[in-house]
Amino acid sequence: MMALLKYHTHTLFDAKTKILVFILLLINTVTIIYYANPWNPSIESIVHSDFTRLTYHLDVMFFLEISMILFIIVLASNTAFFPNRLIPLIIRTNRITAIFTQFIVYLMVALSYPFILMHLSYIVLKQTPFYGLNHYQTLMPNIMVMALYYSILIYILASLFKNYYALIIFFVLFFISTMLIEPNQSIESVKLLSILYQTLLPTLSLINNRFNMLYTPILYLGFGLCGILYILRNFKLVDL
Amino acid sequence: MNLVVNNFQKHYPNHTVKLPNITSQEKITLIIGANGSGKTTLLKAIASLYRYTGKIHCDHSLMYTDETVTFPPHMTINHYLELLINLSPDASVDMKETLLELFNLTAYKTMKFKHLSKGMEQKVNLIQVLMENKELYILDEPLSGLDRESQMHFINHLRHSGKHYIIATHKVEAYQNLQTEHIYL
Repeated sequence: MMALLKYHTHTLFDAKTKILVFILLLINTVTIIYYANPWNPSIESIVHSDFTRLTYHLDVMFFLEISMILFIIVLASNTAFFPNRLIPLIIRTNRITAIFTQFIVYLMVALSYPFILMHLSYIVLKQTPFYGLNHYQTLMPNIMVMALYYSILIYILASLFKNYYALIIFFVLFFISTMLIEPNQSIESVKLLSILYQTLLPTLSLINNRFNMLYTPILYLGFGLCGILYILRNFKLVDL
Repeated sequence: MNLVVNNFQKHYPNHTVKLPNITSQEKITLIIGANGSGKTTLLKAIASLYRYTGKIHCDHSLMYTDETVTFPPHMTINHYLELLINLSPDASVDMKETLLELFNLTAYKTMKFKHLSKGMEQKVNLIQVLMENKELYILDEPLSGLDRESQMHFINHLRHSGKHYIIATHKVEAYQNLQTEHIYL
C-alpha cells in the first residue's frame, strides 16, 4: 500500500508544481500577514471581527481563491490522472486498490494545501491580541469542507477532460458558484462580475438571496455525486 | 502453455466481438487479424481487464501491457521503473538493468519521459513488463515503434527467456525464426 501511495505521489508532482505551490503559499501568507498586521490602517475595518470574518474578508478571500484556482490548474494540467496510467498498476495490484489509492493521494494533496495555508496564517495571527486558538478551531471544519470540495473538483476535472477543457469548465463553475454563494462580496470586489451580476442576472440574485442556504449543500452534493460518477466511469474505462 | 478460449463474446455499446474457439499449446502464440478483429479485446480479457461472456482458461501468472502507455513526463526512466519494482515482489533491479542494457537504454535511464522518442517509450513499456518474473506475458503490438536492432534483441529475448508469450501483431514475418502458433481472428 505504501509503495502504491508513493507511486501516485511521485507521478503527481513534478518540480514545477512544487515551486508553484510554494509561491502560492508564500503569496497567501504575506497577504494574511498584511491584513492581520495591527499597525496596518486598513485593518481597522475588520480588526474587531473574528478570525472567520477575516479569512472571508474580501481581499484575503480574493487571494485565497485565486491561488486555489492556480493550484487546481497545476494539478489538473498533470497527465498523471489519465486512466491509461492506471493499467500498469491494476495489473500489478488490482483495480480497487489502484483507483482507491489514487483517490486518497489526490484527496490528501487537496487537503494539504488549505490546511498548510491556514496553519501558517494561524502561526501569524495567534501573535496578535485579536485572534486565538478558538477561532482557528472554529474555522477548521469550514476548511475541511472546502478542501473536500476542491479535491473532488481536482479529481473530476483532471480525469474527465483534457487540460484546456478542464480549465474552462473550472472557471465557468467557479464563476457561477462565486456569484451564487457570495453575491454581495462579488459585487464589491470584482467590477466586471458586478456589472454582469447586476445587468444580466438580477433574477438570479433575488433567487439566491432567498435560497442561498439551500444552494450550498446542493452544490456540494452535486460535486460529490460527480466524484462518485467519476470513480464508476474510471472502473468502466478498464471495463471491470 | 495451455490457453483455451471457448464461446468468447465481448459486448460493446455499438457492436459485439465474437471470436472463434481457440486452443494454443506453444510457448509463443501470435494473435493475428485485421484492425477491429478483436485482438486487443482478447488480450485484455485474458489479462482480466475486460468483462466478457464465454470461457477463457489460462492458468499462468501473467503480465500485460497495452500498445500505448502514458508515462509521467517529469520522471526519469530509472525512477519510474524503480517505483514499479517497489510495487511488485516479482520484479528485480537486476532484471531491469539487464533489459535496459538489452534495449540500449542504460545511457538514457536518467532521461525524463518528456524527452524520449516514441520508440524509446515503447522500449520502456516493454521493460516494465518483462522485468516482472511471470510465467506468461501478454503483449499488444510489442514491435510498434522499435528500430530493427531493437526488434532483433526483443526476438532473441523471446527465444531464450523460456517464458510464455501471447502477442497481438501485424508483423508476423518478424517472428518467423521462432517456434510459434498462429491464431487468426
